[in-house]
Amino acid sequence: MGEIIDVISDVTVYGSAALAFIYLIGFNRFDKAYKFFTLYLLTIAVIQLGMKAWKWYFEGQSNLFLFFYFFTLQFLWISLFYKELLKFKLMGYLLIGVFVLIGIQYWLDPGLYLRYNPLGISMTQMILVVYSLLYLYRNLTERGNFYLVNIGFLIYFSSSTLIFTAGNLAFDDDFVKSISWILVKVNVVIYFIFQILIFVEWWKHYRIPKKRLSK
Amino acid sequence: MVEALPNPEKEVVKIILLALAILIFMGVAIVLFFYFSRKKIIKTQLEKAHLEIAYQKELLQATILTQEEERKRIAQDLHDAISSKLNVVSLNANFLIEKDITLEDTHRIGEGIQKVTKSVLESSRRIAHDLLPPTLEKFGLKAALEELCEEVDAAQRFQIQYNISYPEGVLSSTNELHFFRIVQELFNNTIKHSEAKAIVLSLRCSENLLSLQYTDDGKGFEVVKAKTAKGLGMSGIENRALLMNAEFMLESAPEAGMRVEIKYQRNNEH
Repeated sequence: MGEIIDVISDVTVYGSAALAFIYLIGFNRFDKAYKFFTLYLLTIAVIQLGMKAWKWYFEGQSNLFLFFYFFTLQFLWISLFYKELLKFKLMGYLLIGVFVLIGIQYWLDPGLYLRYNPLGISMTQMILVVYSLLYLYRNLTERGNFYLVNIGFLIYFSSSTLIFTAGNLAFDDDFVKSISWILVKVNVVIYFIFQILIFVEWWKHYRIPKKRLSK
Repeated sequence: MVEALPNPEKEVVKIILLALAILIFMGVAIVLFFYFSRKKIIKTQLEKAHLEIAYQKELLQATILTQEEERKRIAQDLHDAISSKLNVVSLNANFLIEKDITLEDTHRIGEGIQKVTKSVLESSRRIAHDLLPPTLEKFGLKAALEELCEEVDAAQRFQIQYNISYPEGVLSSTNELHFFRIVQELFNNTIKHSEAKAIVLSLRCSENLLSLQYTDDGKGFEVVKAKTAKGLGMSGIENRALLMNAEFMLESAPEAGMRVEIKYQRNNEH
């Protein structure tokens, strides 16, 4: 079981790079929401590969500062992505407000940059869960883009919020490492499912047929 | 692995995993809920569209039926009033070219031909007039409606009161024709079915509303039946009102006469 998870874990790392690549192909061809989503995928891919590389070169050193970029950039791109889909003006103000809050948090405690930030991740991801619910509601009567990706976001963000929040336990020295590993494994599996949804979305709606390329 | 842990930590793991399972379950449930609601909504929308199409079909059918009936009536009119009389003319003309005919007979036959021709002319004028009253095109809706009322009045079967105020250009020419046909059909209904003694017709025009009221004191009918019955022109009248985006109201009951009101919002003219 553990080996399978390891394989899936590797697949998600390279998969995120592959997804970013296939979405980049149509970058100029599709709407703004698509562009923000591609930027999100690109950010994830860079961070994932960066973590892998960091592990090779600086074995044992904390890579948690990457986590800061992960959750802030994730919130930035996906907020903009949903702002394009939902067209609510309030979302822009919320985005700025959250960034101001995060800024205050890091200003008060600069050392947090090298630590894990459960408040930041849970706050941003819960907001994104709300956006995805709103978008699901909007899709009741009209067919919007990114339906599958939206479902993926809903499930992945709601479950990973808990995992990341609980993740702080993993850095408690009294806590046995194996527990945090269980959480990491569950997260990997959910993320893998999410990636499959992203791929299916691309395959169904954004794969450019050969005919159109030759035009 | 997990078994080896001390108890409290094992509990924490259990709780976290359980919470995670619940979250994922809720997530899936929400997605499924939206998915099925969406399906249902689309299904109802589809049903509504089907219903609309069925209604349009019915409307079309009624239109075609009316057209066919009209054609039959015109054919009958042409046959009765013109063809048969022209036959008489042709027969009389044959007499004229016979050799041993007296001057007196010639005069008599000539007079006969003149009389019949006159009546044929009158009939053809009437048929053409029935098809499309020239007054409507030449002098507008007000004049055409007044002429219609005068004609009904001249038949002296009803007491008719009418009050028509209509400034030119309120309706497009298509809608004017609709309006005229509606009134014509209302008169037809009253004449054919109602055994009424009095008719009141009023057409009023305010700044943004054109309203037509028509009342008779005939034997009336049940509104629901009349709307579905093909013979009565009520569905035709309603369809015309619908086509010109006007509001159609019909009140009637057995032995209580009939009242029709058509309201047309002036600003929806296009």
